[in-house]
Amino acid sequence: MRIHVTLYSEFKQFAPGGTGSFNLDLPPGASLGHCFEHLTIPENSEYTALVNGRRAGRDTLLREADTLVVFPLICGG
Amino acid sequence: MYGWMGKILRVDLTAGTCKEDPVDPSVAKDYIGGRGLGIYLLRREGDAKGDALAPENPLIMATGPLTGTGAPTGARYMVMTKSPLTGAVTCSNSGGMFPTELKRTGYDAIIFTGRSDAPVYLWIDQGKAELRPANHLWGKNTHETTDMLLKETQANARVACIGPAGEKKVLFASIMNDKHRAAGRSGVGAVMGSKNLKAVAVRGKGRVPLADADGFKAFNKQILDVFNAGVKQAPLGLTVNGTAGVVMSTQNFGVLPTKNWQQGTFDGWEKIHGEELTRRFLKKNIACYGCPIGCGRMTRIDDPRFSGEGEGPEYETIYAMGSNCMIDDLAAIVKANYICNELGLDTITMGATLACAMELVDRGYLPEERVGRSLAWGDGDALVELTRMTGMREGFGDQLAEGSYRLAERYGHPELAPVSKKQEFPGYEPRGAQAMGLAYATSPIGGSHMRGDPAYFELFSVPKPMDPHIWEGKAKVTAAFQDLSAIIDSAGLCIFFAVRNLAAKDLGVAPTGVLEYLNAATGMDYTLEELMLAGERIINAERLFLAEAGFSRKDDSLPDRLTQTPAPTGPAKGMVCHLDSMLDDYYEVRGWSQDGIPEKAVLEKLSLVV
Ligand code: SF4
Repeated sequence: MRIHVTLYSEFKQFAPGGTGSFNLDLPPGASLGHCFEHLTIPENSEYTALVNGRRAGRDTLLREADTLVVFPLICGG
Repeated sequence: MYGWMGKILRVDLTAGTCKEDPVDPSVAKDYIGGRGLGIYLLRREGDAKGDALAPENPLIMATGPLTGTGAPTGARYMVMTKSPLTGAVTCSNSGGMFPTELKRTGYDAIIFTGRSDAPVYLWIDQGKAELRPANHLWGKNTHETTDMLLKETQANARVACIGPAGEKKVLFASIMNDKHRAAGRSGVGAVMGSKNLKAVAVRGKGRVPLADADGFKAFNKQILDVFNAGVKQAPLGLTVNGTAGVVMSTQNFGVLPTKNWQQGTFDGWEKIHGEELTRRFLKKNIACYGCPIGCGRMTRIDDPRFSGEGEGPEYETIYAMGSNCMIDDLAAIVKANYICNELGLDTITMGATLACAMELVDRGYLPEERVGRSLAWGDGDALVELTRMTGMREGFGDQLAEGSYRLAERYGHPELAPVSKKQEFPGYEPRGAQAMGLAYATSPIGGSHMRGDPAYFELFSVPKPMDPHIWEGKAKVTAAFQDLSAIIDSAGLCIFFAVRNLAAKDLGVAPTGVLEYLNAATGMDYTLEELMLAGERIINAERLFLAEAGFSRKDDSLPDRLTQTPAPTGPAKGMVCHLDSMLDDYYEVRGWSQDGIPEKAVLEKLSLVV
C-alpha cells in the first residue's frame, strides 16, 4: 500500500531523498510503528503523528492513501 | 512569614499617600498568593458593578510566594482589576525581571486606588515608596519611559509602565515591564492610565525568606536535573522556536484560526511559522528570572520596509495578526508586534480586532472610506499602520481601540466578533479542539488560553493526549486544568514549566511539584488536597465577582460561527463546537447551578461567602 508522508523539523532528516514530503510504500497491515522502523525514526523520539489529521500512536494501523504528518512535540501558546 | 515578604503596599493616588498593610497569614494560605491574593483583595475592596475606569476600581499587582525564590520560572506577577474591555475580573500575568525586583523591595503586592490629579509614577527603593511627578513621561512610549526612569532612579532598577495606549485608555492597553514583557490582556493598561499612573519603578535587594532552605535547594536540584536530562534527549520546542513553533501544530490539527475564525487552516502558514521567525529574525533567546527554558526571542528586522528591534512575536500574536488576517508577511507581523509593545497594546486583541474589521469590509458592512485606507485580507502594511493608529487613537484607530465586539456592533454585526465576554480568543479553533471552546467560554476573563489551557492535552499531549474532536468527558479535565492554572498563577510560576514538570502526569493534574516548592518556601504545610481546594477557591471567588457583576450562563458563550457553522477545511471539516453540552457537564462538575452560579454546597466547602 502507498501512503503520503510529511516530516517536519528534525524529522526531515529521516526522509528518503531529503525532501520532507514523499510517498511511501509499506506492506499491507503496517502500523505507524512499522512505518517509523522503515524510516529509522528512533523509538524514544518525542513526536506528534497525525494520520489524516487525527493523532496516532505506534499501534495505529495505516491504510492505503492515508496521509501521515510527523512533527516534534511542541508546547507553548 | 516565609516565602512572603509579609507586606502589601497601599497607594492612594487621590491623596498621594503610600501606606503598608501586613499580609494576613490565613489569607495567604487560603489564596496562595499572586492571582489568589488579587481576587481576595479585589472582592474585599472593589465594586463588581462599578465602572472599571473610575478611580474606585483598585489596580492590584501581586507576586506569588515562589516569585524570586529561584524556583524555575518563579518570575511572575499578576495584575488584577476589573476590566474595561469585559466588565469582568481580569488577571493578567507577566514575567521578566520586574516581578522579582518588586518582591525584593519588601512588598508582596501593591494596591492602587483613586486617581492622581496629574501624571505620577511610583518609585520604590528598598522598601521606601514615593509618588513622583510624571508629566515629563506622559506621551512617551514604553521604551522611552523605561530608559528615562532608569536614568532618573537607578540604572539597575526595573520598570513596569504604560505607553500612549494606556494613557488614551485603549480598552486593550497593556502594562509593559522590562520593556518587552506584557501583562497584556483585558485593558489593565487603561485602568492604570485612568489613574494617571504612568509607571512603577522598583529597586530591591531583599531576599525571599525560605522556611526550609535546604529542602528547597535539594528539590530544586532534583527538578532541574530531570528537566535538563529531558532537554538533552529531545530539544524542547519552546527553547528552539519559542511559542511561535506552535503554528506547525495548530495548522496540522486544523485549528489555526484563519480569516477571522472562519476556518482552521492557512495556506501561508510556513511563512509565519516559528522556524521562519528563528531563521529570519532571531538574535538571541531571552529568559525570565530563574527560567531554564528561555522561550523569549530577541529579534531584529532587517527589511527595507520596516526596521526595529525587540522581543517576540509570540505564537498568539502570530495567529492574531497573521493567519487570522490572512497575512503571511512575517516582517509586518514582527513590526506590528514591536509597535504594540512600544505603545502598550495587547497583541491578541489588536490582531483579532483588525481581522474583524477586514471581514466587515469584505462583507460590505464597513465602507473603506471610514477606514481611510484599503483594508483587504492579507495586507501587512495595513496591519502596521492601523496598529500604530490604534495605539494613538488616531483616525479609524479610535474605533479599533474599542476592541472587536464594540467595532462589529457599531457596524451592525456583533456576531463577527471572535469573543467571549467581549474579549478576543487566543489561537486555537474550538471546532477542532472542543475543550478550548469550553475554556474560552468559562474563563473568568473572557477569551483566554492562560486561565486553564486544554491545548496542553488536546494538542500538545501534556501531560497526556486527549482526542481534540471529542467533547464528552472534557468538562472535568478542563475544570482540573483551570484549577491548576489558578494554583500556578498564584504561586508565581510560569505555566510552561509548571504544567509539564510540576504536575502529576495524569489528567487529574495534581500539582505535586508545586506543592513541594510551596511547602519548602512557605512552611505552610499544605496537603495536596488543601492546595487543590485553594485552586478551586480562587476560581470560585472569581466567579462570585462575575456573578455580582451580572454574568451568568448567557455570557459563557461563543460566537455562532463556532457552534453553528461547520468547519470548512482541515481535519475538523464538518464539525462544530458542542459548547452547550459541555457547559451542562461543566456546571455540574463545578457545583454551580445550570445558570452558572456557584451553589451553597461548593461555597461552604471552600469557605467562601457571597
Ligand atoms: S518559559 Fe518563557 S515565559 Fe515562562 S518563565 Fe520561562 S522564559 Fe519566561
